[in-house]
Amino acid sequence: MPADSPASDEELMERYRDGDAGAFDVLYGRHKGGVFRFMLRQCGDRGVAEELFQDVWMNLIRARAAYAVKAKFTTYIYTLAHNRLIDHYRANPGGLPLSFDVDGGPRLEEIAGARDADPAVGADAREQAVRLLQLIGELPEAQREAFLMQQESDLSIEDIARATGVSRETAKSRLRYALARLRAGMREGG
Amino acid sequence: MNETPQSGREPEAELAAAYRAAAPAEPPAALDDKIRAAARRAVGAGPQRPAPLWRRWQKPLSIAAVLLLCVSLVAVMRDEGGELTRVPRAEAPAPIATESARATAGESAIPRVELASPAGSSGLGLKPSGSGADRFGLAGANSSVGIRAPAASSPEAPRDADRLASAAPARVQELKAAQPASPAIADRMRGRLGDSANMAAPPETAKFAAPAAAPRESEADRSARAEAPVAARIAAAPARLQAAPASIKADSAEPPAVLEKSEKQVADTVSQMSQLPPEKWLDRLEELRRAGRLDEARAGLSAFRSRYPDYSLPPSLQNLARP
Repeated sequence: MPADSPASDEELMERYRDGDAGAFDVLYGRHKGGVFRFMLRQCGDRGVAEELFQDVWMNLIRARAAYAVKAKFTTYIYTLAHNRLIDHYRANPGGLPLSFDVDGGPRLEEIAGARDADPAVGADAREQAVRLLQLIGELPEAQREAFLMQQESDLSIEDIARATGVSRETAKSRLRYALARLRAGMREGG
Repeated sequence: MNETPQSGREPEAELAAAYRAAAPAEPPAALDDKIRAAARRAVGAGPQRPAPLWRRWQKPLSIAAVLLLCVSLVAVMRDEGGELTRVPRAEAPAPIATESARATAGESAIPRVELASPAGSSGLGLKPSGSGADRFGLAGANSSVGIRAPAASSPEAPRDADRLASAAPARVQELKAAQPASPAIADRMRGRLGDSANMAAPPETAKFAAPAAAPRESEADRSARAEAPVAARIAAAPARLQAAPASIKADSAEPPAVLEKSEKQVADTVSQMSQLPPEKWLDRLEELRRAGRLDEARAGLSAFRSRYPDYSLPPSLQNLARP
């Protein structure tokens, strides 16, 4: 590895575990936006999102001594985020959303335009973004979670399955349904 | 994206582009500062400032200082312990006296008690020279009992033996010079040794000491002793002393200097009383008994009975005469 190449997330986390507070600053700067948006899109309330976001990082700080590189750091931090989110759901009157218990929603073929959606047609980028965020908010929580993990941290299906504690097939299914719904929604909106 | 759920990647890429175009949400700066501060606190680091050198070496230096202090204390205590052991060893006349008395009386009269003691134990609870017993002035007692410690564990044994051999004749002369007091002293010491034999001797000690134990005096012996000339009894005193159980001589834990002083005091008292008329002598004995100076009273009574065997004693002194 060249001397001037940036340290990987895992190296930074190990340095922080060993007492280098500066490594945490770098790590936090890299991932704070993605984790925060993940929380914000999932719970829809900025105040609650800030609270959950802070809890996630505090949990990481507390657990630093036991950290060992077993997977990508992004998988690790989104595992913490997922667990905090599940706790949040369970603490609310509605309880854990049903989407976390089932693989998710209607059959793919039943989603209109799922396979031939073209979200860029007939609208400019700004309008598409607003429409997309609206559609994301309408997704079942588990599907939304899978989509956000993929978009914010570029996690693979295996990483999503590991972070959310489900099988690879379940994670893949959730992501497929999420994409199909979003495409259909964008086409309808466009 | 590592794996596309559908075969066509272009629609997915379009979705990703649309998602990126959405307004980027970020946590507030205050929250950033709060989390970063917590992270620094957790690792005990200040704002990127390395700890000073003295602080990094604080723990190792503290441990080293404590260890040094402990070692110094142990060394000092060991030195002081050595000084304490030298003082009683320098003046240990009692064992010398018994050893010399044995030489005078002849070795054949007393079966010497020798214990084949294993290294580190004499069988009497006394340890060989140089051990804890030695440090408390028991080295002399060890040699007087006749327990031979292994030479390897007692480097000072030859030196002690030389000292004993050179001092023995002079000590015999001292005993003979104290003629008037010798019977009383011998009786007193035998009484003490007899008590010790009954009370303190461990079983194995009694077993080894049995052949050397002095037989109890019969009435005939007692009357014969009363009629015997004082000079003859004095001459026999060293032998009688030596005839006492060897193991019991370990009772010399009492500081020898103190013992010698008390013997001299008893001898002086008896000598003074022997110049009194019989009535005054008995009065003086009664005073001593009341004052609790029983050793002197017994010694004086023994001398009185030797000189006036037919003189009737008051009941209180008769009790004193009983062993």
